Amino acid sequence: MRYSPYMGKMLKINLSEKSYEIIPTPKELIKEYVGGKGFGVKLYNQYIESDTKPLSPQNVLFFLTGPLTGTIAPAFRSCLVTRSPLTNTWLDSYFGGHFGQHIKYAGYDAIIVQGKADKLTYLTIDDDNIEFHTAYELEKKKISETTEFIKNNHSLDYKVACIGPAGENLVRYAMVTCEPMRQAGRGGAGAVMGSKNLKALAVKGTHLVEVANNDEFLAAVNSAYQELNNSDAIKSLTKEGTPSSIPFAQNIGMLPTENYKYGQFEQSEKLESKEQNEILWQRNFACSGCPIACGKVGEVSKGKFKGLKIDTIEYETLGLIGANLGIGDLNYVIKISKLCDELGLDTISTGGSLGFAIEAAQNLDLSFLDNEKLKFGNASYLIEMVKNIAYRSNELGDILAEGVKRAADSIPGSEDYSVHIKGLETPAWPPRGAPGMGLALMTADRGGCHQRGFPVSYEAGSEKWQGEKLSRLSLDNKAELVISLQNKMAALDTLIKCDFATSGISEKSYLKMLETAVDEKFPDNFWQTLGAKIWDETRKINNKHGFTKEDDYLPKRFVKEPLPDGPASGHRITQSDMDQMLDRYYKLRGWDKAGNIK
Amino acid sequence: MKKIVFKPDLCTGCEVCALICSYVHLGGFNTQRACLDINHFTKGMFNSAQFCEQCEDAVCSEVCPVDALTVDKDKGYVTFDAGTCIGCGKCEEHCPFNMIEVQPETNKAFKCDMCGYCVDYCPNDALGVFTK
Repeated sequence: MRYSPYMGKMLKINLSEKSYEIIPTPKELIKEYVGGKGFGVKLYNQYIESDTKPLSPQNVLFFLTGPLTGTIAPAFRSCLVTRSPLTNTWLDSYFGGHFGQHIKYAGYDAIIVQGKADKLTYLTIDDDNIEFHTAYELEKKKISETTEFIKNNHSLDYKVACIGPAGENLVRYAMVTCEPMRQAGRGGAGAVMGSKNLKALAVKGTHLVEVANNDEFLAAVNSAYQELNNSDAIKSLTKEGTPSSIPFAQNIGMLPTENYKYGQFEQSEKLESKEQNEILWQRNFACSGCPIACGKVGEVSKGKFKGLKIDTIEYETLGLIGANLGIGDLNYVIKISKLCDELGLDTISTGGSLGFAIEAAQNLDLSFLDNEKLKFGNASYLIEMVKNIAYRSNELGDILAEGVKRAADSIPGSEDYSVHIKGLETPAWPPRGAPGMGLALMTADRGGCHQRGFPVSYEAGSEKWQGEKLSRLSLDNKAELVISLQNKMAALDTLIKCDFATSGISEKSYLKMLETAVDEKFPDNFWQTLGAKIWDETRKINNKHGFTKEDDYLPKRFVKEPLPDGPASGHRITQSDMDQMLDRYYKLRGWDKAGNIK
Repeated sequence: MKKIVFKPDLCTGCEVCALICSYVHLGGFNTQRACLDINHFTKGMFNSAQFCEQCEDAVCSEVCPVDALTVDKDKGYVTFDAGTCIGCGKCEEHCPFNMIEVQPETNKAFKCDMCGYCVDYCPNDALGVFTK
C-alpha cells in the first residue's frame, strides 16, 4: 500500500525538552482507523493514562488531519484531540480554515504535543525545520495580535493556531483559534495549550498531497460538487450561513432562552440573517477547498460598535449569547462574540456559564452575585463579565471560568440552574420537544454536543428516517436513529468532513473520494461499521475515566420542568423516558445495562 | 497578450484555484506551490491575489540564459520550455511578483501557462481571462 494521500509522517514535539522527533505514521493505523477521529482514539489510548490530569504536562494535544484534508475534495477540516479540562475525558474538537491543510503541506499527518515549556513559547514548523521561540512579547495577547505578530516576524505564508488570554489563564473552555477565524471551540483545548505554556504553532511547507488515482479522484470530486450544487440546504448556507437556523429553532420551540428555561425568544427576529446582513455582512468567506462559503465577513456599519470587524455570528452564538442571555440587540451579541473570539473563549460555554450565573443571581442571595446588574438582557454588564472570565479578574469570573459544573459545586443552592452533560455546557438545541435530540446529547462521547448526531432535522424538520416521517415526541425508533447518525458522523470524522457539507454530499460520494485517493475498495457498509467501532472506543475511554450511566442523564431543567412555550409546550424528557431510550440504545450498541462495553 | 484577472469582491478565499493549479502542474495539492497567490484579508475584509502578469516586456525572459522563456504574442503569454530550462533560478530571482519558481523535485522552473484550470474551477467566478 502506498501512503498517498497521507504524508506518512507525524511530528512529535516535546516542550519540556525543547525537542522533536519525526515518526512514521503506522500503516496499521491508516488501515484500521483512516484518519482524524480514528487516529485520535488510537493515539489517545496509546498516550493518555487514566491518571493523566488534563492540565498537567502529561496530557497530550493531537493536531490531526484526514486523508482528504489539503486536497481539492470539498470541505475537509482538521481536529484536535486531548483530554478535556472541562469534562475530564475524551475531547475531539474540529476546525476549518487553512491551518490543518498546512500541517500536511509541512509533511505531517499529525502533530503530537507533549510536556510543558518552561516559559511561554511558540513554534514555527517549516517542513522539517522546527523552531522553539520564547513568546514573552505575546503574553496575554489577543488572538489577532498573536497571529499578526508571528506572521509579520516570520513569514506571511505561515498559518497560525493560537490561544488568547483565556487559554493562558486556563479557563476550562478556552479555545484554540486556527487561522483565519476558525476555532476548535469546544471542551477547553485552549486551556491545555495554556497549561503547556504553548501560545501558538505556525506551519507551512512545500510537500505535495498526492492521490492514488488522479482521474477517478477528480471525477469523484466533481460529482461531490454536483451534489453540493443541487442541495437546497447548501444553497441556504451559502446565502445565509448558520443564522438561517434562528427562525427554524424559534418555530419549533428549541431556541435556548434565559438559561434554557424557555424554547422561544420574543426578540428572535432581531437575531435573524436579515439583520446581520444589513449591519454586518459584506462578502462570503470559505475554508480551504470549500465551495459552500458559509462564512460571511464584514464590518459593523452603524451603531455603538461601528467599525468592528468580524466573521458570521453563528447560530450557536446567537442562541447562547443572544437568546440564552436575553439579548435581542444584535450589536451587543456581535460585540460579545468578538470579545470571545479575541480572548479565546468558546461562545457556547461562555453563554451557558453566564446564563447560569444570571439565574443564580436572581434566585440566590450571595454577596458576589450582583442581582442588580446580573440580569438577562443587561448586555453592557455581560461584556464586562466576559472579560472577568477570560482574565479571572474577580471572584465570579474566576468561578465561571471553571465551567458550569464546577461553578454549581462552588455556589451553594445553584445546582438546579446548571445545564451541562458530562461537564460540557449544552449547545443551542435544548432537547425538550425532541427526545431523540435528548438521547443524542446524553450519549455524545465528548459530553453535551449536537454535532455527533442531529436528530432534530428528523423529529421537527422535514428529513425522513428510512423513508418515513418520525413522530416528534415519541420515543419509537429514536435509539436506532441516534445510533445510525452517530456512526455516520464518527466515521466521516475520520476524513474530517465539514458537518455542513454532509447535507449535500452523499455517503457514497465520500466513499468514492476516499477509495480513489487511497486506491482501495471498501464495502458498502464501511461507514456504519467504522463509526460503530470508533464509538465503542470513545465509550471505552469514557468508561475508563469513570463515566457511568449516571453521566448520560440530562440536566434537571430538561427532566423536571415542562417546556413552558412553543409547539411542544408541556413536554419534558422524564426519568423514565431517559431510561427507556438508554436501555434500548445500550442494547443496540451491544453494551451492558450500565452502559459499559462488555 | 492575455492574463488572469481577479475579482476580489467574489473571492471567498477557498483557494480552489491554487489547489487545482498545483495538482494539474505538479501532481499533488499544496496551495503554496501553485503559480498564483491568494492572500487572505490583506485588503480589509477582502483578499488580494497575484497571478503571472504575462509581461510583454518580460524580465524572466530577458534574464533567462538559455531562452527557455519566450514572450509569445501569438499564443498571448510568456511560454516556458522545460526541456531547455537548466534550473539556474535567474527568472525566480528577478520576477518582482514571485510568479516563477524552480521546483525542488525537477530542478525546472514553473510558471503560469494560461491553462485556465483556475478560472474553470473557481466556484465563485472570481477569475477570468483578460485579453488585450
